[in-house]
Amino acid sequence: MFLAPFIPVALALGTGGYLFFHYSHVSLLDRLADQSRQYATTLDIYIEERISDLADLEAVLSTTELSTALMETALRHVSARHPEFLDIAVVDQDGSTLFYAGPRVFKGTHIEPGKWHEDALRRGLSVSGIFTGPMGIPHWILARRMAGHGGSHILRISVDAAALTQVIMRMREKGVEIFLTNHTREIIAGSGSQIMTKNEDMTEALFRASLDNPVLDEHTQAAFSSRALHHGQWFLVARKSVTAMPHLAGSAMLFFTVSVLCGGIIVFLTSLYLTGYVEEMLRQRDEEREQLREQLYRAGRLAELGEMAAGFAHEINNPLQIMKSDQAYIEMLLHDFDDKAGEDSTLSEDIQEVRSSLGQIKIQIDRCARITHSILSFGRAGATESQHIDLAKFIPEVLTMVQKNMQLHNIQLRVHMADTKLIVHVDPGRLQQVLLNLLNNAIHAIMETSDGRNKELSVSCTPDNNKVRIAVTDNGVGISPEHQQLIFTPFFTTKPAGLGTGLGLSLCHGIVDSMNGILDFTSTKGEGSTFYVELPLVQALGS
Amino acid sequence: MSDLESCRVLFVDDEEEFLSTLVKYLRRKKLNVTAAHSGLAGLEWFQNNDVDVVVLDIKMPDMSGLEVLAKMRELKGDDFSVIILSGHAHTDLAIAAMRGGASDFLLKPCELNELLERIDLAYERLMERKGGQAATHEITT
Repeated sequence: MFLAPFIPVALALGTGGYLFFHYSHVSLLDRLADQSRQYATTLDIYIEERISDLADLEAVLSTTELSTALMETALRHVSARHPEFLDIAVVDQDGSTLFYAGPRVFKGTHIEPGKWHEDALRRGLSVSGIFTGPMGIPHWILARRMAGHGGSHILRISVDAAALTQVIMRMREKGVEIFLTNHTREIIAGSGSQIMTKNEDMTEALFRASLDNPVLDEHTQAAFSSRALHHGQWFLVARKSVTAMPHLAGSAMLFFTVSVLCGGIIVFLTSLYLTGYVEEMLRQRDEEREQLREQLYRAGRLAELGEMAAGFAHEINNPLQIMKSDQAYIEMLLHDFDDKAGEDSTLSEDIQEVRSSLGQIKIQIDRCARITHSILSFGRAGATESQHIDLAKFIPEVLTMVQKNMQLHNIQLRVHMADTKLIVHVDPGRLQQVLLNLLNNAIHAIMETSDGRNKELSVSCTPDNNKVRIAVTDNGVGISPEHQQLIFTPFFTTKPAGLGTGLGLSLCHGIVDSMNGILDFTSTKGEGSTFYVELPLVQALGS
Repeated sequence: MSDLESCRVLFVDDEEEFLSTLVKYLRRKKLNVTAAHSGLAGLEWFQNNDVDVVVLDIKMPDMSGLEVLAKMRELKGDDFSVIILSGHAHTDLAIAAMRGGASDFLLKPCELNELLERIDLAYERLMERKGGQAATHEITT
């Protein structure tokens, strides 16, 4: 689970890295092939120039009477321009040296004829391999059959192999090693110092594979590109170490690791954040849905109760009317009895007792009537007279109705009204009823406190997007958690029997609901409550 | 208070216990009172007798008070006053009753004194209206 974010990053970077290195190698091999071709061309030109020098010399010597002095002059002449020419000799068909100019030690000695001698006789020109020989200097031999002097003489020149190394060193580029080898893979010149040794890195198979075709040797981590030089005797090998770029590989590895880590961490943190965000969003949605469901349930239950209560109240009103009629009739009869009792004090007292009891019955009938009338107005779906009202003016007017009562009970009123106009479209009478109910409840809650706290009631009215929020806050006794679930339920009251019908807040809830608003509250037992009414603003409704 | 003794009052209500006490009470107050326990019974009495003030309940088993009111208006026009006395407190109902020609609307349970005052007021207005109509009639003839 934790590694999951790293996998796509590693795959992406791995693929990228592989392609990068693959194309780097391809590019490296192509470049090496180009380089080896250029080097071979340069060396071919150098050898052709020396062959050309030999041809020029042969042309001169073929038409001149040969002598050792002439040979020495000729050597001086050519070595002045090309110091790599070590000696000049004219050799007969048997290989005996006829004339010779060169290092003193070889003067007059017989030069052992080799393959060069045979090639020169047969093909007219010979380019030897490189060898050290009695001179003790690695050199190679150029031999050419002379046209003059009966065509049986061979002109032979020894060329210092170091000159080849100089040519190689001149054209060598950074990071590339260049070798000249003979067909036995023996190094005859090169950028290294292993002249006349075998290049151990290069196997026979690799050597053959790399001819005209660059090859990457995994074993030595080196790229090879070989070319046969023009005359076929020598081979040029260009070698470039792939690990010649260790810093690049190291950097790439570091980059890869850091990228995988950073990318993985970013993906991980992003997914963590997104998961948290989505979880929070879902949780909020669930809460809102639960709240809405609760509100709908409550509204439905209240409506149901309201409807039921209205029918119930009507049914109660009729027997109440009968009781009231009978009570009035009994009073009337008692009045007649009074007249009849005359001086009979005992009867008069009895009549007084009956009247007193009847008075109590009347009080209780009136009490029932108040309840049923409240219920009927609660369940009432009668026409309302909605109009535009400015809460900034309306609320202070409502507050004046309770200010006297508040002063009587030493309750401080704080009012916070927004500076702007706050227009709502409601029935002012019904909104007044709601606000008075909330204010009176707040006053009662404050009056119930007995700990000598500063009695405070604050009313605020502030816009909130397309709604306006009227809040009535008291520092009264608060509502206990078990009562908070019930306060909008009809007939629920915490007031003593006979002092409250328990319909006030239910009625307010129904009224605010009919205004497309919300009536809700927050409360802490012992600290106070805030009841707030949210109503849609007229501007927001586009009116 | 006008001369209620000459006022002929018809009560139409399905609550018999209420009517029996009420009739006794009002008769003691010297009112000419008749009680009908259903809409149809009330209509029948109304059709065959002179009535000044009708006190109508709204919710009755056979026909509603508003229907009875409409029939009565059909029968005798403006020749009488109507007070609605109902356990229903709907404003809509009160408005419908007023539009149907009721002159007052009382919610049960009400004080009988208050009911008496309203009957008195309705009768007084009826008399004024009738007096006005008679005067107009005299002028035109």
